[in-house]
Amino acid sequence: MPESNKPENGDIIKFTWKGKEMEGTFISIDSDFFNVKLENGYNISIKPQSFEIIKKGVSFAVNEGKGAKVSGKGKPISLITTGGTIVSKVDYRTGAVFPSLDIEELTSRFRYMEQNYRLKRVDFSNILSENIEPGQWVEIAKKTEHELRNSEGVVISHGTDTMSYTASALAFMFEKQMGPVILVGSQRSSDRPSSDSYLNLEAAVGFATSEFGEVGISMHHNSSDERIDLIRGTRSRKMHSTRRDAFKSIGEHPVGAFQDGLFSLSGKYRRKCRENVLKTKLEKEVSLVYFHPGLEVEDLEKSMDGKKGMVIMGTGLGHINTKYLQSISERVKGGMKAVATTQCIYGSTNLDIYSTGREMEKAGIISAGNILPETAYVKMMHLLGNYSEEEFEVLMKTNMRGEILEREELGVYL
Amino acid sequence: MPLPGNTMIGLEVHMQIDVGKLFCNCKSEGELLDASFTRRLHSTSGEIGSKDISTNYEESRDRLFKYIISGNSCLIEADEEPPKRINPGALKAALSMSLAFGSSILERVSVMRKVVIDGSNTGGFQRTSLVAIGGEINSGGVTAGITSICLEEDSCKKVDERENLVTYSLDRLGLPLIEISTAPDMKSADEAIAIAKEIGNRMMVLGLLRKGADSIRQDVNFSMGYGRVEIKGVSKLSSIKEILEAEAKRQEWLAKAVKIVKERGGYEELKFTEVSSLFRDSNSKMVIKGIEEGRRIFASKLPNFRGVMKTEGFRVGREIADALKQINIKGVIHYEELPAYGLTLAERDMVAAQLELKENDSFLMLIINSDSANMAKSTIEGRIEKILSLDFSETRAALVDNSTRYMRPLSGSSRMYPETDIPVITISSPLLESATEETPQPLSEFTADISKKYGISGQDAETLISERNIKKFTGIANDKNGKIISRIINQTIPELNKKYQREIEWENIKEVLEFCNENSLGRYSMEKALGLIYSGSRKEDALNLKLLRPLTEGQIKILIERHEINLHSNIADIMKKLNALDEGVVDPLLVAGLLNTEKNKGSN
Repeated sequence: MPESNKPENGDIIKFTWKGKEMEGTFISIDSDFFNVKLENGYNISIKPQSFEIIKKGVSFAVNEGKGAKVSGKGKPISLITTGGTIVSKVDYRTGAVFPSLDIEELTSRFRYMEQNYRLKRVDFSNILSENIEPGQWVEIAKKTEHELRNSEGVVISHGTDTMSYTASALAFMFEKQMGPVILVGSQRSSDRPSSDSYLNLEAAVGFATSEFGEVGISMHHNSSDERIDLIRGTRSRKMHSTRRDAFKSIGEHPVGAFQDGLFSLSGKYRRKCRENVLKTKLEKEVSLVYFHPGLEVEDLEKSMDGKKGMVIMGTGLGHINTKYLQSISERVKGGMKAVATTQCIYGSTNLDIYSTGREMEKAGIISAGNILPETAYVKMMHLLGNYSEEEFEVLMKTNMRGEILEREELGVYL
Repeated sequence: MPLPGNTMIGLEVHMQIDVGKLFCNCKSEGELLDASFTRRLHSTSGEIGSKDISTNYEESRDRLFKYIISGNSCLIEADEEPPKRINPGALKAALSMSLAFGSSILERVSVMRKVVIDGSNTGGFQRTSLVAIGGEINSGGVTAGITSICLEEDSCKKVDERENLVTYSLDRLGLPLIEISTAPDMKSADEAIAIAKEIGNRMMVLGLLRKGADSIRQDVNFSMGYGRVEIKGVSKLSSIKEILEAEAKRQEWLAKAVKIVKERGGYEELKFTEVSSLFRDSNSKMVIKGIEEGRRIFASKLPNFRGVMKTEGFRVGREIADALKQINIKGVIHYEELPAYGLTLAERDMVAAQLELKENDSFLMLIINSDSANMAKSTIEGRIEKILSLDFSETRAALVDNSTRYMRPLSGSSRMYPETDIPVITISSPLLESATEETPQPLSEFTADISKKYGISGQDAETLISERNIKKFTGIANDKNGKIISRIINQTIPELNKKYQREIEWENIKEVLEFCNENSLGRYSMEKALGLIYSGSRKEDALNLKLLRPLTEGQIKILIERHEINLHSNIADIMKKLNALDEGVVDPLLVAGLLNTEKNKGSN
């Protein structure tokens, strides 16, 4: 096909297919197949016998990053966008989902939001959360710190896959914070009428005006569009790949809830402070290893090479095969920190009960108690980055950001 | 009343296919469970970046939707998991139907989302894909062109509807539907019925039509010169005629009303003013309750509309009320219907005086929250302006009394956008070949073929087809046992279902029949085995050769002698006694033979 004759996205074309003459809007071409939108709205993918452009059209330009940056007349809230499903729109040419968020669309949906808040959108990046690196946690933290100085609270839209890591990282970096920092995601993209993003965001903005001086996550409590939980970042975990209520508060009740336009906080939490204290150093040479039967000593060795610390997710009480203990012990003597968590996610490690545990302790492995594995990993990066080696073990076992449960209640499990 | 000469009728026939759900592994049937969840839906931009008029309209109603979970629903129906790949059996069925009508099949099928935010789909859209284009349907001298054949998901069944809460169940959601849309080539209800019947017949021949009252549903497109009206949910073919006649009558009276209003000088913008004070001493319960609940009374002149609101066949009042009902505003009152609702003529005249009504004028009165007044005004104006422009095009719902009710504006194409979770499906040659092999023949040909091949009567063949049992039958019958199997399926099983008030899954019945086939056990053995299963026996116990073997005449004779059964009593008693021995299956013909011999002996 000559280049000049090639239809472009949005052109109205007339074409013949299987002897039928048809008309439609050209979308794209994919190995000789024309993707055409027919007048009845259906897309078809066909190899036309012939075609002609009857009207040059307007491209289905996608309104990326469109919309106002500031909207509303109430309390100032900053909304930092980092991509992910919550700000997704569909690219109709490729069918792919891409990040975009129009805050006016959000505030105009609920009259009270326009009255109560003055939302400011701060574009951070358009990355899918699986591509976020620890270096970006620091960037987000700095931006958040800046925004906290000029607003009541900060909402960060984030892809759900690594949202708990970012939440924990921010939690440790903020020793003190002037307002709530609320991460919010969605499990159904906002191009669907059934998207959970509207309610998750509405709640996040509500929580951002509260006294909560910590980092939390605002997501669905269950499958219904009824109640949104505020989950402490360091106790949060994505427990389902697709459900709206994928995020659970592990081992403790959610700190707060949002329903019918109103939020309430019930759990123990740190109140917001007059100043921000941010410690952004992170030791990146830390590994997170999942123990499993068949894991070879050599594989573990490779995971420890060049590392200043390792979190190992052991079985049950935190146990690992004793055949690794000699090499771990040598590394620990060489200055590496080793921390054991549990793959069970719920419950605590305890290295006192069985001989394996005691041998692990002798080898210098520190028991993480009920700190979640991913949180322990982030905490280790934070401790190694900001504190001395001597302080490490004591701080690991000290509850710094609500990451350790002092007591576990019977009723808080699954 | 015959339909006008310029009538054009088109059909959209939706047929459920019984092959499990379209995008997950759930079964076609399932009980409702004691669990539910609630959702809200928001309209989103379509592919062209604009919101569809019909979806915007639904959103303005701001309702909560409740979904009752069923045994045949999973995370996919709950919109908690992306769809799995398309059900190949459903796709094949759509291809076979396309081939039956000479429709051209697309090499690639793209799944689309059709935005529907009335809550009938948990995702806020219905997944639908165009499978074939063109072709035609011929039936009894009538020909209708096919515009499209689509494969789509069925929606939720509505269980309950209240002001702001609509309840649906998930059992029907996601069932595959084949949708055949015709060109507006039919001129009468009879022609439409003939075409719809032919479509349904082919589907029955294909043998995959789901059982159940709503397995075939028709939408009827009708026009008589005032735009296309899409009438949704015509479930019975026989009602098409009455529905269309009623619709033609409605449009005729509406057009007459427009003429009258225009001749009088047309209509002016509505001006609603509060008239609550006029009703301070009203005895109308509707007024008293409304005021108590904080509502206020507004009225506006409706110039030149007197006499067309609710006189003779004129029903402009209802047209306005129906549009308001869709935005949850009930109880619009107009001049002509008073006195009514406890409101008096004196009260009517007070309002008329305040609004300075002239001879030809009517008024509209609303008892509403002042918040909704603007919305009510724009809804009424929109409705009136559209009617006056003689554009009656819209989507209407068929009601049980064969009248129709305004549902929403016609849906446009901007509510369609690609389903991003499902890659484009390429129709493979093996799938196409196997669909070609199963292309359904015309019903009469097929019935004759079945009857010949299996040695059964035409009527038995027809029953198997119309009761959706033909696939079951051909899956197990051959030229030798055809009669017996058709008897078991057409008679024995329905009788057992009735007797035991329950149904047994076909897979289990099939196993019983196959066991009997393999062991050369005949009709009575099959009936006995099925009886055992229905009465609660385990399969392992029921499928026992000792229990099911047919007794020979000699064996029966021995049993009669050993147990001293009186051959002079009636045959039913003898059969009962013999069956109670559990020694094997007794053929009543053999017993009758023995009785005859015994009688003859006696008479000798």
